[in-house]
Amino acid sequence: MPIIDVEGLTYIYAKGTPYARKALNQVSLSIDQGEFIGVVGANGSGKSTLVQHFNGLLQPTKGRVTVCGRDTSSKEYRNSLWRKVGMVFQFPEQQLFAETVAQDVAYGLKNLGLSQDEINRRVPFALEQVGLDPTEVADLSPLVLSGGMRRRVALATVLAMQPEILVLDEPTAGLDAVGREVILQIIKDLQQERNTTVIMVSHSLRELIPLVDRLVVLNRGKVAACGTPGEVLGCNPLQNLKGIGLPDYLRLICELKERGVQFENPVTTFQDAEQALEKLIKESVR
Amino acid sequence: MKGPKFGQYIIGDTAVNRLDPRTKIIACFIIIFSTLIIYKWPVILVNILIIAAAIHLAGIQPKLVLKSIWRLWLLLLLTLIFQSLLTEGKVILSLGSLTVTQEGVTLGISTILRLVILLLTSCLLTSTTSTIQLAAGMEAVFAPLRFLKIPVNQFSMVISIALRFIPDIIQEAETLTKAQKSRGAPLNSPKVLERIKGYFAVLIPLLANSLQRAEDLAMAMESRCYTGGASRSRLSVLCFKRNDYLVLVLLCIMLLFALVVR
Ligand SMILES: Nc1ncnc2c1ncn2[C@@H]1O[C@H](COP(=O)(O)OP(=O)(O)OP(=O)(O)O)[C@@H](O)[C@H]1O
Ligand SMILES: [Mg+2]
Repeated sequence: MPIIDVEGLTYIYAKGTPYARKALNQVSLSIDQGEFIGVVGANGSGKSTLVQHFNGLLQPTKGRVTVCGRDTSSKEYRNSLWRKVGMVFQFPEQQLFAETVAQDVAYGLKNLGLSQDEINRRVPFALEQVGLDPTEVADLSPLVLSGGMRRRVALATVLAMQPEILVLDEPTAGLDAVGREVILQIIKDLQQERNTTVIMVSHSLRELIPLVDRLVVLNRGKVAACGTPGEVLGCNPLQNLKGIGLPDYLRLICELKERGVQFENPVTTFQDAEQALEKLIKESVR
Repeated sequence: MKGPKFGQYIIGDTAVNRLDPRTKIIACFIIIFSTLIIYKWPVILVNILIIAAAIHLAGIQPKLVLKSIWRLWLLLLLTLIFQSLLTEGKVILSLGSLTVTQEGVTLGISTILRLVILLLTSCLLTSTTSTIQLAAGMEAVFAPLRFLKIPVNQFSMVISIALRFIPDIIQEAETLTKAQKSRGAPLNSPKVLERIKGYFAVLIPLLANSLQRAEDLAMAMESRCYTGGASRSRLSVLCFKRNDYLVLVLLCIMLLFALVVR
């Protein structure tokens, strides 16, 4: 049984006013336990709106969202979903509020009702997980950290809660290359070792492709394509991924395909492309 | 914030929206002034007629208007009760030591209507005038105060900036509420104290971010050489049209009428 099931989901912001705006239109998809799902789409395509349904922050205007087997239309269930579904918001660094980094990470844990021992164990662990030195930052005020470091703290606040399902809204936007790698690695590890279901929103297909099991492409509130990276990129990626922009190496492959070059294996990752091109060059030299 | 509210600016192109903001501000002043100082029925009725006409012309759904009045029901009810009990006059009903007088009931009803007039006038102004126009209008209307050495331009700038950032701050408060809810902030807790504590987690970052935003804005304005003062020009110059003169003349007649009735 899928852990998250979305059926005919339509969401309208400011319904009934002149500002009404349909952010999602008849979206259906299902996500299995332990899967890594990447959500891509242009600005304003409804990615954030979609993922906020997964932990009960938004209620469908029409349609149905089921999480862990229960419909989120029950208010009581929606209000308890935060225990199961961890959500890292877009620009989460703005939500830090406690006096020290450690207290901020502990906030969610206290709300979970964990013992002080458990909290003291989890806080430094979570900080280490996101590549921060607990002895160094734990007692600092979040306000003195740089933007990227705050982002990592914010991520730690959610990771510390060890949710069953982890939702990340553009976790790497605005981070340096190392920070990006670190965070992506943590997320991948979580999914593989703890079997956490991960849903990650991103603008960068390039960072998603090697990580995800399946890609969901949104376009103006509709699912434009859904499937493994191979399936989504396979048939006609330029059509499927309108408005997103392919990574350079895929654009090269597409151009070559258009000029009649045949590739034996589907090309999705950078490594695939490298191998395919190497082979191509060798063949043409011969 | 669920659903539309009367008083929220709605982009539109109705006759009322198109009026010059100065006209609307002056008209509001006249209506509020006459309502505040004159208790007479004819004035109240004329004012209600004017407002009803304006609401109709602005294309605002009567349902919204009624809803916004309904939100004040407690205040209105208490007004009616106290006025009818505490005014002396011809007794029409007596309940033990409490007496309801005819004068009291009349006064109660007229007070309610006057309160409603005040409410609707201001809501009508803000729902048909964008914040930029409102600030420009205020600045123009209060311009004469410059001679009293009051920095009207700066005040107007302060007001327009404040108005400009309200939607942003509301939006941000919503996002923060969502973010803290996801971390289990007890915002729905039945215990009031818990809930208040939960809202601290929203208010603190909201305040911190607002201060940061103010600092950024000051920097941005300074780096574009902003200096306050009367010499600043405007992007859109206000100008009176035929309808504006019509409205102003009408309201002046109304004001004269009100003063005569008094
Ligand atoms: N709080 C809101 N009130 C009204 N409309 C909103 C609100 N939030 C989003 N929208 C609208 O809904 C649509 C989808 O927004 P959403 O934030 O889900 O897009 P997104 O795919 O996450 O974009 P981005 O890549 O910029 O994060 C947009 O057109 C946006 O204008
Ligand atoms: Mg978004």
